[in-house]
Amino acid sequence: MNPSDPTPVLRVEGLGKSFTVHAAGKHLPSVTDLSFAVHAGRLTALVGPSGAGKSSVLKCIWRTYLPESGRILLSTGSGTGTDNDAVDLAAVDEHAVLALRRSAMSFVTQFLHVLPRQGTLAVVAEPLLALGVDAKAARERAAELLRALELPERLWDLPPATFSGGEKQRVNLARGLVVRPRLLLLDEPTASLDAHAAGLACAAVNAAKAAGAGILAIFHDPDLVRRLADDVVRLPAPLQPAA
Amino acid sequence: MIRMNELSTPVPPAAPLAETRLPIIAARGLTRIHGPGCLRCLESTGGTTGRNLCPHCRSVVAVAGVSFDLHPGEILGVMGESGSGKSTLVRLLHLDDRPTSGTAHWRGTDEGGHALEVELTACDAAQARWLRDRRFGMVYQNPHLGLNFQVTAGGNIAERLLTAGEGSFRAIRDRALSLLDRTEVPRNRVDHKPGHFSGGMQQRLQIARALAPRPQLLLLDEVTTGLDLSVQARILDLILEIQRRTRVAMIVVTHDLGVVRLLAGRTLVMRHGRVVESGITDQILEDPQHPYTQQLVSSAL
Amino acid sequence: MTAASTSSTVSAANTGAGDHFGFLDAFAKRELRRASFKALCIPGYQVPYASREMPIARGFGTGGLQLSLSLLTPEDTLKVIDQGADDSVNAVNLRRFILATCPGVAATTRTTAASVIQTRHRIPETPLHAGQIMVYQVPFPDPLQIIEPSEAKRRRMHAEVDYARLLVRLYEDLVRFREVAITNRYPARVAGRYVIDPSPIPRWDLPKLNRSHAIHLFGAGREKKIYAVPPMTTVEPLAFSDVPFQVEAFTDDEGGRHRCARCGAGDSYLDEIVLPDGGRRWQCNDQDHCDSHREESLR
Repeated sequence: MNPSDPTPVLRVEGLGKSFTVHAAGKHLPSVTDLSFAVHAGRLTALVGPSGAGKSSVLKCIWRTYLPESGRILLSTGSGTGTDNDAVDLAAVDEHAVLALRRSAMSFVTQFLHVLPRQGTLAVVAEPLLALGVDAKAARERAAELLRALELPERLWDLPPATFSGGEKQRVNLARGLVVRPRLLLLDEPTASLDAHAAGLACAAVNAAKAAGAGILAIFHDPDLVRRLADDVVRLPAPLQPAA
Repeated sequence: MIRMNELSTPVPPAAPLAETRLPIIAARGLTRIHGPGCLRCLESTGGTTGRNLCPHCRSVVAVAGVSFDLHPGEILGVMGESGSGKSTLVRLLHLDDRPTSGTAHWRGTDEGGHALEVELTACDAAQARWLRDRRFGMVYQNPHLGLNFQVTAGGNIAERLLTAGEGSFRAIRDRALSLLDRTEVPRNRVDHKPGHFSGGMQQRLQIARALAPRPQLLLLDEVTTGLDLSVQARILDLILEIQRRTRVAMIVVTHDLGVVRLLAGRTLVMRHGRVVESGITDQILEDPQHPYTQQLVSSAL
Repeated sequence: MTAASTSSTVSAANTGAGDHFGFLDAFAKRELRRASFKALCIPGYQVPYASREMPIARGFGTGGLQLSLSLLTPEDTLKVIDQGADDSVNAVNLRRFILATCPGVAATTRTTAASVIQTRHRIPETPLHAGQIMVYQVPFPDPLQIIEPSEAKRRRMHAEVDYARLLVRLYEDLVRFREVAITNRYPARVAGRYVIDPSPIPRWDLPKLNRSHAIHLFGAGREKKIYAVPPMTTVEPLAFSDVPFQVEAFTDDEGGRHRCARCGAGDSYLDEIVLPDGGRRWQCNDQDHCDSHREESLR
């Protein structure tokens, strides 16, 4: 932790999330009263046993899950460190979340959901185009990332749907890094990569960190946590679901 | 033709930090009841009653209290089973039908590119036609509703352009060809009648026709229903590509979760004429709150 | 309107023909005149009226006949033409009927001498002058009929100036035949507003309606509609801005223009006549024009 840093990129305060399955009449708690911060230029790793709700935390921040309680404060980048300079992702409306997803945060998952017919370079450049970046500059930035991740150039015009798991994951990572987000969420970004490719991915993540991104990550490999994490947030084992 | 600002009703202030762009459509409490209607129509339908037919007056509550904002460049999904009121909602927005109550405020531009606001539920026939001809595009599930099968593909596009005031044959011909290119209908089919086209190509031609006057709002009603999966994928992809390129706002009505997953940033889930849940599409699909949405999502996956 | 009907009643009374001048009763004539005035006030708008039963069959010019009968006074001079000829069966029958029921009305074949000209399929080649009234026999008054079967919808389309589908027809012709294939009843916009079916006149005649000095009244007996082009009113054929409207060219094999074999005219609408030996000859369709031209050249 770096308490001297006045402007954490993300502050999670008392986050709670549970799921109600109406058909089964069940209430499944997932995350309870979780608080932590992610700082600019640092990587925070979420660790904990499986089922502890690590992915749920990332999804709550990305608002794929609706947080139940607590606040998720994303800095607006103005730098005074008060609540006024942060948006509460748990409370803002959908249009604001969608706008922040485009401009301020990226989420790299293990899976790539894109349309089948788009070429890889276009897939990676797309988030920049959506922000209004000029097409040539967007393609150059996308090419830079794909090159850094050593995705063979002959694949760049092909749609990633046909790629191997490792290739897809690199495309996914490049797509997440292309906009230089303030907050980067990584869900096992190296799960399908071999040692060499994983090294490249780590280098790319470190580059994003050096560029000032605050990173919140889940790694499948404890070794990666040791190598990459500046801060660690440990989640407790899952509670027994209430009937 | 359109009286500017006269029809405007106050629109709620934009949410903090939302994009500074104002919604292109702000719908508030749209309700459409078919039949005589009675005081107990709304309370005796929807929700846990499990019906949209009022038992007291036999009226059909097709749409009740639907509110939403549609922002420029956004794709909004409207998901529901048949009879949920989603097509009625589109008909109300396309001015093919009038609501029993509620408002829908449209914000766009006039011919000169100046800001123009129209209360859709209060506009007259001439305004409705102007909006349909020049500002809205509609693509129907049934190509016979959206296309004129008596004339060629080019003629179908020409009709929209002529209605919108284009007078040059050359310009119409060129624009028709470029629209066919964009919707991936082969150029050499321009002088063929749509009756000879495959189902997928008919839908793509419908999209070309809808896009002809460069509309600011595109309404898509179950456009991929009944098509082969590969044909569906191509059309969905095309729709996204058009949205990327033209930033036209779209409302996509479908009963298919896959369609909203691929296309829509936000989604309304409708049942018995009510919006039971609305939110960011991936949240609706991965963390549905309402029992009905949960049932819909779990039965589809 | 009142003044008009009164004066004609008076003149009818003066001839001793009483109510029966012009075959129709006074109420029918008054309604026809009212409809005609309304049609003149809203150029190109189809005014409904109660078409009367006539002693000739619907489709043989009852609309034009009723208009003529309501307009004629004993001082008028009448010309009736059918396909440009004064002596074709239909023209002869109509003329005979009108003269028999309108005592005092004179008949002529000269375009310049006529005050009322009832016509089917042609507008005379000789330019019309102020004070003349053209009466057209109209089979189909609505240009939108070919694209929209419902009259209610057609009325709405006229009200909304919704003529795009007519232009689509032109588009389809241009795509299929490289030219507009409409030979007659070419739709035209009157005074920048309503589009009319100008009755089955050839394209050649359409420019004559534009800013004409005469009054043009169109009567559809079966369809019960009257519409009008007032004097000095613009009549523009529907066309694309970059594909100009064209009249019949009558070009011969060498690219020159056919001339009338009878009078030598090179500026009139020609009929192609197949001779018994298989040869072809071209001749003015407008009989009066041909005769006048011949007399002039003989002189």
